[in-house]
Amino acid sequence: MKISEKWLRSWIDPSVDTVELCDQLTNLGLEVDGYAPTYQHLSGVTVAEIKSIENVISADGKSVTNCLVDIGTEQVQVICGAPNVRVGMKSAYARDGATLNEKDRVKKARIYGVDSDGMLCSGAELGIDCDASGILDLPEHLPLGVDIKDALSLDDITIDIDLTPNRGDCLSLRGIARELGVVNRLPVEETKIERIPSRNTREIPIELANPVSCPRYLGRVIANIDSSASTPDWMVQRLIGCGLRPIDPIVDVTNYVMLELGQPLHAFDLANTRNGIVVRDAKVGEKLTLLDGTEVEFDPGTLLITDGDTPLAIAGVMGGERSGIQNDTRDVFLECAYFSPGAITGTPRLYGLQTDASLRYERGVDFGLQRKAIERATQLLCEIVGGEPGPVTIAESSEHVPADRGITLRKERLAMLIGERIPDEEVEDVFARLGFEVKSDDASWHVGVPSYRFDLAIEEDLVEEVCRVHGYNQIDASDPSASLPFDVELDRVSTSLTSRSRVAELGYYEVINYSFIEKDLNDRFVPEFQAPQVENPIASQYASMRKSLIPGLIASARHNLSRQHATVRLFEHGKCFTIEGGHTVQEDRLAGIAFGLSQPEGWTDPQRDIDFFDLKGDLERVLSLLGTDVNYERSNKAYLHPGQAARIVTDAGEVGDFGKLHPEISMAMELPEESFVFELDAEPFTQVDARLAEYVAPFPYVRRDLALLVDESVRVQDLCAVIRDELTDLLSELTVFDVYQGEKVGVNKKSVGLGLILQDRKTTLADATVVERMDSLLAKLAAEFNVIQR
Amino acid sequence: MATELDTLRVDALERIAAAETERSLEELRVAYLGRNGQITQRLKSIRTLPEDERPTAGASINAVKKAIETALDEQNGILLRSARSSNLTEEIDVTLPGRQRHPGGHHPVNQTITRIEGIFVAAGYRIAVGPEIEDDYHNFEALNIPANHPARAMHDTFYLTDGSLLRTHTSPVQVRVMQKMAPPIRIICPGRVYRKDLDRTHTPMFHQVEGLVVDRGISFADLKGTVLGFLNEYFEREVEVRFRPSYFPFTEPSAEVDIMGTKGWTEIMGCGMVHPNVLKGCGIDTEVYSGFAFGFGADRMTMLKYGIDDLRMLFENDIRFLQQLA
Repeated sequence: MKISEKWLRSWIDPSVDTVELCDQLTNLGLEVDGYAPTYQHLSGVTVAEIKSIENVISADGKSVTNCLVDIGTEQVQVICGAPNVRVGMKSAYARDGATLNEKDRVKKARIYGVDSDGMLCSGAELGIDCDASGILDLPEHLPLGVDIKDALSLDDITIDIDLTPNRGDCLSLRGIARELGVVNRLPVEETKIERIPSRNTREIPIELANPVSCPRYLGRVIANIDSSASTPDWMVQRLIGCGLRPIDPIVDVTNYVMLELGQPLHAFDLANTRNGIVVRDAKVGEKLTLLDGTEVEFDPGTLLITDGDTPLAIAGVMGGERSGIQNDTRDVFLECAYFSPGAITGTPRLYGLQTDASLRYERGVDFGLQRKAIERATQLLCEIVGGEPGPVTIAESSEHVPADRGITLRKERLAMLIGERIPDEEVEDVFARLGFEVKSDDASWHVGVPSYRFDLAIEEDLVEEVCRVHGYNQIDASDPSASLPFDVELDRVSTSLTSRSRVAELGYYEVINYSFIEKDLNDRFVPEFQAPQVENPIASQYASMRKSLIPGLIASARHNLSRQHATVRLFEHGKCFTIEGGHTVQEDRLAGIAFGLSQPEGWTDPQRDIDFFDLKGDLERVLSLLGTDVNYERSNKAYLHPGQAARIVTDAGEVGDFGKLHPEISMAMELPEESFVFELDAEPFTQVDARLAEYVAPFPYVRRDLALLVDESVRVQDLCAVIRDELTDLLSELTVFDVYQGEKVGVNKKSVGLGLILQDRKTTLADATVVERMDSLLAKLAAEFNVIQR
Repeated sequence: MATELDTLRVDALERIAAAETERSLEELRVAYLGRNGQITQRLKSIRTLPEDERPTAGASINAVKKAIETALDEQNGILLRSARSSNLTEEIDVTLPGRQRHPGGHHPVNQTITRIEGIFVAAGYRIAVGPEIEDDYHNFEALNIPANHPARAMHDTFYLTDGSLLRTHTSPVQVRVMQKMAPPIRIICPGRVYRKDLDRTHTPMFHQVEGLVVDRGISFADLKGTVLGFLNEYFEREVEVRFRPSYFPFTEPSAEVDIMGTKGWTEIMGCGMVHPNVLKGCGIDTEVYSGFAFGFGADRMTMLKYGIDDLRMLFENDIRFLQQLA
């Protein structure tokens, strides 16, 4: 909320400057977002006198005036179209380069064939009042050349306060002044509001058809107003100081009272409310064209102000176009209602209509304020537009109006929750300054909460009030002393840290991508499941919850490629989302992408691009964290090259897939052909570490190398499995040191070189045993794979 | 005989001393000590001698054998040393760069989270995590934010088509832990959260770290001590901190925490005493237990620590950025 500092200081004027005033507000919990001169954008406008005028008829027949203007230092020629221009008049002159507001800058121009050096301005053009009918007619005593802001004392400061939703009571000058009074220990100058005697007897019947939502509705007829009157400058200045644009006297008065007291009011043209007012819920299909010209169709349950049949306004939000004040309105019906906060909350969002009134009703309005506010508005209206006020009609369902509230605060509770004991006298002083009535006994304070502090309901709310006024920064810090159980249900480290660290050590940078991606892309990578869809995405390319980390990694890789990184190695750990069997599944995954050089460029070794087995080597290092045997199968992932795609399998199930990106994908995504990706289920890496250490035997190793000739279709993993199985008691290491295909071994054959390191863990391995076991192994391999030893 | 043996010994020692390569030394070893070597032959031939001469002859031959073995070892040492010493004159350009491996590292935000976890774990906290797709109950209702509560406007929520939502804060993890476990509770909950917002200081996904302590006698002063202690430890200096009243539906009293930076006060976290409605909703007796909670943006902490002023840079994943802080 924006407020005028000048207006605020008319309520309470502590002897602190603007900076400290703002600090005080912030420290009270009314956070000041910033402050700035109200007319910070008005510059280069000075007082000038019109020396002579000459009528010019433009080509289109319009009459304008060519004025010779004394601006203090020289005389300039200005073209002016205002009807009120006259010789000897003092007015506001904006020179070339002057700014009138955030957007508009004055420039030299040639108008109707005459040069105009700057312009003469109306109050509306300067944004200091709403009169656009002619240029400003300034008092004669103002000296020439003086800045208009100094001449007219346009020196107000607008303070922007970011109020939290609970402090609806501070959506008014009155509320903020009250808070400043508390902290400065100063009385607040409340505006005197007296009951305005009625000068006619006209009343409009009011029916509360939904007294829960609207338990109180006050109305008053003001007849015979002067529709030609304009809003006085002092009110205009205050409205502008609070960031509101003046509109017309009646709207300005209702806005003024809303800013002053926090109570929204609405004025109808009496002609439309003659049949009476019924406050009721909307019926299906009811429509209304609003003040801003839009037509809405109501949801049942929306609270409306109606004339019984047709809607006149959305209660607490916005009035209808037809029933509003018109230029020729003579009789006004003024409304001032109390709506339950729950009755209005949600309505502005539902219709996309956030208004100053709806903001206040949603956050809460002082339920004791309606009579005061309608009298105050009547008083101001009568001053400005005249008219004859009628009696105030009060429709009320007293059982539904909130009751005055009492809250008990236990002294022990206060001390425990704060962590220190604030002396009773100080607590009582805080309550007194806040305007709360307090009765105390040995153990407790019984606090009567005024109607404007409708946000306070429970004991803890009073604890906050005491802390707040006492000062959060006055409370000493302490270290919590708590029992520290060893809780095995919760972790001591992020479960992903080990696997993420391993991938990082292998030369991959970790990235973080958004969890939502474009739907088609999402489905292309994981066609087998549906993805949860965002109903209100920030953009259409972020509408689908990712089923795989790979599309995001590809985007990150492409970003780097486009910035001339030819070698890219990235990984991400994060959740993926799928709908499986009607349920949303959210699982952590660990994925990576790599392309470019297998090793960074250097002078020591020849360069080559990364290949499948570079990636697999990296993954083997990652998978070794699982501490279980890992097998590889062919993967059928559509995004992988069918000939270079592997699936990782353990006894517990599938862990993930990796391989070369399918050429269709790498082409479409503008990545190098030799691009490799992996994606693993992260969950197996969070399992309890079930590894067991093996006895390290002191007996010597024996190495035997085998060169096996097999059909090329035989998979090395299967050969190795048989070897491991046959030599399970002796084999301590098995390496593949050579794979050869070519003329030497014949068509459709390959030679596999295997190194076996054998050790008996109980004794020195005898030569004869080795020979015997190797013979039996070879026999087995021959039987299963038709192996020939070379 | 003795003379012949002497000659052999002298000859052998000379030849050994003259050997210039490991290979010729090995040939000499075979020639003397191998299966058919001269010494071996002689030792075998002892059997042909008369019994009374055997001990003397054996002793003589063994003495020579020993001498040859010693000489072989010594010469071997000399050759090795000289071979290695000759390398001493070879010089490489030590200024050439070393053989490189691909560098890698953790994302700055995750590094921050890991550090923060470490700080709190050292103070006896545990880590708790929860789902990112949440239901209305855990994200709002259980946190004292009923439907249409004005505070919902503070969270620009992403909804999914099935009515669930992307969690707007990590606070639902508090609820999940309190529903499952009895006090005492000390947890921090790091994780991704989502709000519909995008500019220099907002991204639609960001990271929060939430803290929760529930025990007997937990006070606002304890909250202050915890926040101050953490901030000093995180920034590795004595930070100037101010607490000011604020509002969160799930805490009462509530506070916003600012730290003094080069451009004045900077908002850094929200905190407060857990609202009794939240505790009660999780079955915790508010007459016995009280608690505090705090929450802050890990991204913002990262930015403050490393002097980053555009949040979006964190999610561009540019290697030139990532490698600076890896």
